[in-house]
Amino acid sequence: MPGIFEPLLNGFAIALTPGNFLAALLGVLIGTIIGILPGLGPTASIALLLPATIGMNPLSGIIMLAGIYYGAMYGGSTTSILVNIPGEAASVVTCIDGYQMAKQGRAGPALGISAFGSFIGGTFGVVAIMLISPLLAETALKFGPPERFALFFFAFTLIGYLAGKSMARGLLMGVLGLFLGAIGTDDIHGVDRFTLGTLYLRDGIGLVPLAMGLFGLGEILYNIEQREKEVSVMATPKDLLPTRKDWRESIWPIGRGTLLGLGIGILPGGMPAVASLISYAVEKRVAKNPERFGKGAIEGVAGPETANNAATAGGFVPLLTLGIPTNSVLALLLAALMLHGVTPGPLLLFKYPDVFWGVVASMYIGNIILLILNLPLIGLFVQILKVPYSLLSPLIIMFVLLGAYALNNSVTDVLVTILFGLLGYVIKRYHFEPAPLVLAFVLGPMMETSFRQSLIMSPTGSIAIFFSRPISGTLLIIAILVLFLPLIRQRLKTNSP
Amino acid sequence: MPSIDRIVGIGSIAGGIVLAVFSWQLDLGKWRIPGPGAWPFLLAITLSLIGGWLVFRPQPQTRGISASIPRWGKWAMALATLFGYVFILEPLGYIVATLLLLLVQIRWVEDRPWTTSLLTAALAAVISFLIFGLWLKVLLPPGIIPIRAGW
Repeated sequence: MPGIFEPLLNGFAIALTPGNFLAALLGVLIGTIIGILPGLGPTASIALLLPATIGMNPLSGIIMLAGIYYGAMYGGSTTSILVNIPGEAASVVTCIDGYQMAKQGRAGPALGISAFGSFIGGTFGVVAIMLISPLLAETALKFGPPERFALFFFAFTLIGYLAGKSMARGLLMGVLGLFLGAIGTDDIHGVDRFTLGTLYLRDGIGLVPLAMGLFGLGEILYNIEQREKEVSVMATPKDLLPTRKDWRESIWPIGRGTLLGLGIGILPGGMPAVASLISYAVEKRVAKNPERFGKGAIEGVAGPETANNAATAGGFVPLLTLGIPTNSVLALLLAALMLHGVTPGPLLLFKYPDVFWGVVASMYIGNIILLILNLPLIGLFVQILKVPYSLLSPLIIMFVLLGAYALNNSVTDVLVTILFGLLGYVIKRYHFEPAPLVLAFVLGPMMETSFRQSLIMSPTGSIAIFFSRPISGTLLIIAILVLFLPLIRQRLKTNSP
Repeated sequence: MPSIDRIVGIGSIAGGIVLAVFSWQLDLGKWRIPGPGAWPFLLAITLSLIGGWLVFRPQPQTRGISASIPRWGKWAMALATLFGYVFILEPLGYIVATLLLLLVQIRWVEDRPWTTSLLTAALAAVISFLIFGLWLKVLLPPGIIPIRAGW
């Protein structure tokens, strides 16, 4: 412990120099804007800004790029709560209860608890980087393709919990999402799959058109059909911050979300989206009244938002200590580190202590800046909901289509967004849930790759490899139990006299 | 009235069979080296199984299909405008196409007065162009108004 505080204080001294502080401020500000604006994800933004950091001091460049990443994760929840458009895959789960809270006039508490939860999750994530990096890094090294597949499969089985009363409906949406994720050129054999002979589908369907269409446009088309006349789809916003009751209901979900997010974030494949999904399932499972979920339960916002940000911070552990990026954004950050001549890995702490501790300290500072920035903005964001829905919904349509076009400057993306909007409308009209589809779509390609890699590395080419390794075997058994528990329970209920 | 779960279930079984055939044609490979069709084939089987689950165990409270769409005229107009936007975006350019899209949505789909509709549509189209086109340098199509965004 004494060995930590001295370098950490030194890290703060480095992070608080005007250049580095400005880089953190700029990074989280850009990240928040990116998170809020549709279409511009952190991956694309970091890729665009990466060359711009070459002229900068290496540490300032890395601090800025890291700030963009966790700032975007922070900002992504705002549009999910206010207009049902997830800015990021990790914010998909927030749409479920966050948007319902906004419709009930509780956008302020939803945004507030999301900001506080994100702050707590993010800050504890940084503490974890500092304290348990070496230990966690060892666990992460044990995560090969079979373990990754087991983790994804476990997350997939939890998708059923997002689907209200019918697990079958949730799983159906999930399988549809996995299939949509399989469209495009096969990574291993280079064969086109289900591309209908089009160039566009060779790269696969983009997450942004899919999510914005299913959630944003689908909701608007549904409201147009259902509204008799000008009615407030949104109730007038009431409180701006979480009440004492909200805090009571959120404190445990925030605690659990922090631990879950950290545990998942450090694992290869442990994306923030997986953490938020598992957190939602856990909160629904432990809730006294699980039927409140999907109808505006604050726990459904607090837990996943915390887990999402804790996982974002946790992802820096394998990146900095092992040089293993656990998702595409961290892969770009790895590229940024190497571009600046810093090789992440077990020796980073000894060879470049200023970089390691400077980044860690800047993340503390960045999280505080985010909280200070976001809390006063809640009042402003909530004002958006006071705009009559008959004006707000066309404006949302404009932002969704603009965001889709901005991705690749392609009208095909706009068309695909509209097609998914139509699908989102059908899903909503017949009481299915779009969230399992989107999350499975994100998990799908990684799940397939780890599945195929596992079989290739298995000496006999058999699925026994998944059960013969302790971590993957345990995860798969838990996943199978999760999947079949409702059926067994139903069976026992019907058999009991 | 048929249950939605049953209809979706039958559709899923049929869809699963079709996908399985296409996946088979892609080459399933072997257990040791799975081919490009192996994963979609597994998904197709799972899809059919879940379809069967929905057919044989539908949710009891699931409502039947209601063919009536309460405001189908407005709904169809909104959808047609969205598809129309795809076709006019590049020839007319971002500002004009967005103005038209918003005008139709606000004036006819949402039944707002002319002045509110025109003013909101024009302001939103121009302001979003300034933010995304000029400030964020997104390459928005100029169309008939020769202002090149993103430069």
